[in-house]
Amino acid sequence: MTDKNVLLIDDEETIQEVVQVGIEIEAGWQVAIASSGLEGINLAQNQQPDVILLDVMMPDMDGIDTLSQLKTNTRTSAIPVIFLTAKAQAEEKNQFQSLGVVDVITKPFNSMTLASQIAKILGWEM
Amino acid sequence: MRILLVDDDQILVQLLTTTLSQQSYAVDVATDGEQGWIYGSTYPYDLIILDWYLPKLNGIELCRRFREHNYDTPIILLTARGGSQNKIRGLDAGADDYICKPFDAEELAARIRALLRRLNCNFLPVLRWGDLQLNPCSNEVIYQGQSISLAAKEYRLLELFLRHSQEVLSVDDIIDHLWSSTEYPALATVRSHLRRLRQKLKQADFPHDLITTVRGQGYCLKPFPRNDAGTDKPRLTSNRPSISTEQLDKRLQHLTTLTSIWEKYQSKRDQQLVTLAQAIDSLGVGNLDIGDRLSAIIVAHSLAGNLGQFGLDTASQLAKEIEQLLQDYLSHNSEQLVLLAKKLTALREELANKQHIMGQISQKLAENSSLLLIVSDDHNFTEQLISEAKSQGIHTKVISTPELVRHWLSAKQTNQEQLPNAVLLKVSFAEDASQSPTTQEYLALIAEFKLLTPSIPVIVIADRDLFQDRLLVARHGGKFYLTQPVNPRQIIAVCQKSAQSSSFGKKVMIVDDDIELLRILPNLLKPWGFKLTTLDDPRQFWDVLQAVVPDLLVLDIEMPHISGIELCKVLRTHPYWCKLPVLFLSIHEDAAISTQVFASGANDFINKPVFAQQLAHRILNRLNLKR
Repeated sequence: MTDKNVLLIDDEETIQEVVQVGIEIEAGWQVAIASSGLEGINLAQNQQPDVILLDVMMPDMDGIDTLSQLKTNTRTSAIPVIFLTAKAQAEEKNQFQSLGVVDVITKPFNSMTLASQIAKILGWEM
Repeated sequence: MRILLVDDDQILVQLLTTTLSQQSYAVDVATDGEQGWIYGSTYPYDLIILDWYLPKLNGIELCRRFREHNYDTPIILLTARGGSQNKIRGLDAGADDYICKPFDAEELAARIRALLRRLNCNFLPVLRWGDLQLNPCSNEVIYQGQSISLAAKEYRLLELFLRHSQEVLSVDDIIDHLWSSTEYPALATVRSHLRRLRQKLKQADFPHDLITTVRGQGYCLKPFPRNDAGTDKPRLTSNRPSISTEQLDKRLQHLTTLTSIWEKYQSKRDQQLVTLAQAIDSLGVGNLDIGDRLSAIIVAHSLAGNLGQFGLDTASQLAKEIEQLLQDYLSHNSEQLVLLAKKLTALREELANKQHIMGQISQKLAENSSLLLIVSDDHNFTEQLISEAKSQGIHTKVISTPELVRHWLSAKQTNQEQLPNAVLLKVSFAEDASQSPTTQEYLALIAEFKLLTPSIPVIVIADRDLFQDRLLVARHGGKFYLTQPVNPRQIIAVCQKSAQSSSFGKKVMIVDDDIELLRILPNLLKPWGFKLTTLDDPRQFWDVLQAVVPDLLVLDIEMPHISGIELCKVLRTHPYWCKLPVLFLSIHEDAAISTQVFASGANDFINKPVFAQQLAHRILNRLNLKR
C-alpha cells in the first residue's frame, strides 16, 4: 500500500475525527489536521502533503479564501485540493473546479470509502 | 429463539408451550387471529406457528397478511384439515410448512429446527466454531469430543451467537430472541448468563474467549482465527464461505471507533441544542443580537453536518431547516417562531429516539459501496479481483458454486439485505456447452439474476470467444461477455459500468397533481430502489428541484398554474438543468401533444395508466443514456 500524507482543513472536531478514522483504518495514510484556513496554509507549506481536503464553510477564513491563498503561494500551489462540502450542488462543483479544485466530495461522506474516493480522484493505487 | 404460537385451543397451547419451553424456546401465545397479527407485527419472531381455525381472522388469512406486509418469518400451519388441496392452500398463502393434527410434538420440534436452519443460510444441522459443535437436534454442545453441560439460557445464547455469527448483538437483541414478550430480564441477568457461558467454556478447556464485548454496543462472536496450514479451516457451517477475518475486524474497528466518536461528542450536541433553544427564546422576546443569531446559525449548520455524517438523515434535515429559519427570521414573526420551536422539539425527539446509533452508522457505512458477487472456484483469479475491487471501493463476495449462490441469495432476500450490484461468473465453455451440466448450471444462474426485480447484471468471463457461446449467454440475459486473457483492472471497470447502471439510489423527482398516483408510485417503484421525491404543486418546482438535485425528472403535462411543458421549457433555459433527462406522463395520445412535448425538450413520453415495470425500465434507459 502506498504511504500518503493527507492534510485536512476543517473546523469541525467531529468531522476531523471521522476523516482520520476513515483514512487511517481503510488506507493507512497519515492525516494531519488544521482547524482553520491559516493553520492549514502553514501546515501545507511545512509538511507538503500529497493532498489537501478543504472544508468550504469555515469561520474567519473560508475554504474559497484558503484555496486562493494556497494557489497563489508557490510552495503550495501544486498540491491537489479536494473540497469537502455540504453545498456541493452540481452548479457549484463546476465553479469550484474553475477555481483550481481537483474535485468535490460531498458531506456527509462515507468514511469507509473516503480513502478509495480520494485515490480514485487522484489516480493513486491502493 | 423466539416463537409466536397463535392458537385458541387451550389444551394444545398448554402442551406446545411446555414442549417448546423445554427445548429452550421463548414462546408468546396469541389466542385469535387479530391478536396474532398485533404480536407478529410488533415483536421480532424467529418462527410463527398458526392454527388454521382461529377466531376473528383465520390462520390462512393471517398468514397471507404477514406475507402481504413483507414479513418473511418462517410460518408453520397447524390444522385438522388433511388433503392435498388444503395443503396447497396453506402453502400458497405463504406458509413454509404444514402439519396435520394430531401430530407428534417431536415431529413439530424437528420441523421447527429445519425451518430455523434456513435462517442465515445454515443448512447443516450442526453449528460449529472450530472444534466446538452445537447440535440443535440433540441440544448438545461438544468440544473436542467432550460434552459441555449448559443451562437452557446458556445453550440458547451460544446458539444465538453461532447463528448470527457476523453481527454485533446488543443486550436488547439478546432479550428479544431469548425471552418472551411478557418477561423483562434485567441487564445484569443477561450479563450473568453470558458470564456463566464463558466460564463453562473455559472450564471445558476451550482456548478462546468465543464472545467478544464490543464496548458500548454489545457482543459478537469472534471470527475464527486463521490457520495458514489449512488443517483446521474456519467453518461455522462447512458449506458457507467465510468472510475474511481481516475485513470483519476492520469493519468492526471502523464501526466501534465511529460509535465512540459519536458518544464523545454527546455533551457537545446537548450543549448545541441548549444554545438553539436559548436563541429561539431570545428571538421570542426580541433580544437576540446579531452576533448570537450568527452563532446559533453556525451551531445549526454544524449539527446538520455532523448528524448526517452518522447516518441520522431526518435529524440532519431538521437541523438544516432550523438553520434556514434562523437565517430567514424577520423580527416579531410569531409564525416563524412557532415553526422554529416545533422543529427544535422534533430534532430533540429524533435524537432521543436514536438509541441504537451503531445500526445507523453501520447503514451509513454500507451506503454507496457497491457489492460485487464473484462466482468462481479459481482462487488465484478471485484473489487478484478482490484486491483490484477493493482499490476501487467495491466490496466483494466470493462463492464457489451456483448452488451456494442460490442459498446465499435467498438468505439475503429473506433478511432484506443489500443484494449484489453486479455478478461476475467465470464460465468454462471449452467442453460442449450444451452437454456440460456445469455450464448449463451457470447459464441458468444468469437467467435467475436477470429475472430478479430489478435484475442484477451478470458479467461472464469465458475461456473462449465463439459466437455460439455469446449467443447462449445473451439468450440467458448476460450483460457482458469477456474472453480470457483479461486483466483484473479491465474486469472491474466493466463491473463498475454494469453496477452503475443499476437503479439503486438514483434520485427521481415526479411532479404530478394526481395525488393518488403520487401516493401509490413510491410503493410500485420500491423494488428498483429509486430515491423518489414527489411533488403535487408545480409552483414549488424550482425550490424542490434545487434542493433534491434529481438524476431524472418525471412530469405530468396538465397541471394547475404551470404545465409540465412550461416547466420543461424553463429547465432547458438553464445551463445545468438543460441536460436533465425528462420523462412525460400523459393521458393524451394524440400526435400534436407528443410533438409539443418533445419540442419543449422532453426525452421520453409515456401514456397513462402507468405500469410500474414499464416506467422503471424507461427511467433506467434514460439514466443509462445520460451516462
